[in-house]
Amino acid sequence: MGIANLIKAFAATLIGGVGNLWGALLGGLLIGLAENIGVLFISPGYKDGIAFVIMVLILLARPYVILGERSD
Amino acid sequence: MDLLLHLCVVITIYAIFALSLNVEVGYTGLFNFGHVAFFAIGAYTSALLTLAGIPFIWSLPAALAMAGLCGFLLSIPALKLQGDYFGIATLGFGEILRMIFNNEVWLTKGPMGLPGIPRPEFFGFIFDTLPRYLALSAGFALLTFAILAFVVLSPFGRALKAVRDDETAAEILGKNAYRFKIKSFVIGSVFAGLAGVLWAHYATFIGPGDFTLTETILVLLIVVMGGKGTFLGPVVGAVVLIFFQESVRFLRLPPEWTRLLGPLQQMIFGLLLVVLMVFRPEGIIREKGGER
Repeated sequence: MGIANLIKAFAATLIGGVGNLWGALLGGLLIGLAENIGVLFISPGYKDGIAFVIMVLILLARPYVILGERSD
Repeated sequence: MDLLLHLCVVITIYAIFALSLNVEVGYTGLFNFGHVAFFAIGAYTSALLTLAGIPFIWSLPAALAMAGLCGFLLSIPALKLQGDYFGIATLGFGEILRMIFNNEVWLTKGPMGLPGIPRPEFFGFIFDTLPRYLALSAGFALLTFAILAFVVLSPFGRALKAVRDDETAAEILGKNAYRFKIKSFVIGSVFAGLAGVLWAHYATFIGPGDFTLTETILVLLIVVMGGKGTFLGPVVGAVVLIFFQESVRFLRLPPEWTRLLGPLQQMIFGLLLVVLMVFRPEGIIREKGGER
């Protein structure tokens, strides 16, 4: 049951950058907005998947994520 | 007696499932938290095809090919991620796949699931009774064991272990770690698909609720407890864990406690995993030649 929330929390952390407090805040906001705007375009059944897709896309495009320090 | 046979069938299916995960977790060091997705792909593909009237002999290879193809497609982006991020990516893939099964009602009938999946049939011989089905699943388990043992003992298997132990060193020696990981992932996916096919035709009913994270955790527990990176480990783990899981049913508990049995099982599994990690992190069977 809690898996969807776990993934969203993880996605928010990753998007904002691990170890970055304000980044996590921004990530959470981004995911919340993306989820709720996203259902305009796709079936609400897939709502929980949006956060995850965003997370993977961001991880692939920028492994050092938005506001975090660059580690590689 | 029937219960025992049923348990044996479930054990053989989980043994195949665990053996396939062992290729990824044990030999290549890829912690795949979405392994149940490939189990589900195999189960759904074969179930849908046989329900459409295609014989089992064709639906089985189709399901294996589908699981392998999905594994290949997932592994291309996912394996670019490092360590933990790979685990999270596979976890999410499993969840997304379950959402697809839940939402694409035209194909999978959504949460209602697919009832009435026919028993497998080979050239007019139907595996409908328990002993017959056990023979079928045990045969496939032996075949899986033999193929995976062959794969792991070959130079390819040694290269996988090299990638697991030190990716940089393997790459310096001229092994393309990314490609080896993809191959390992595809092999694991195909055999997970096989386990799924056997499960679908055994249970004769599948629904999205059968393929949750709990299944992945159970099979990871089987691999880690049995001993990852060993031949017999996943098999031993499957026997011990499935018997243990079923024996909880026979606990004499006061009636008002019986509703707690399900959560209790989960709690005991969690506790078992923690205790095992602390006291015997290498599992019941140890890998030969590994660092201690």
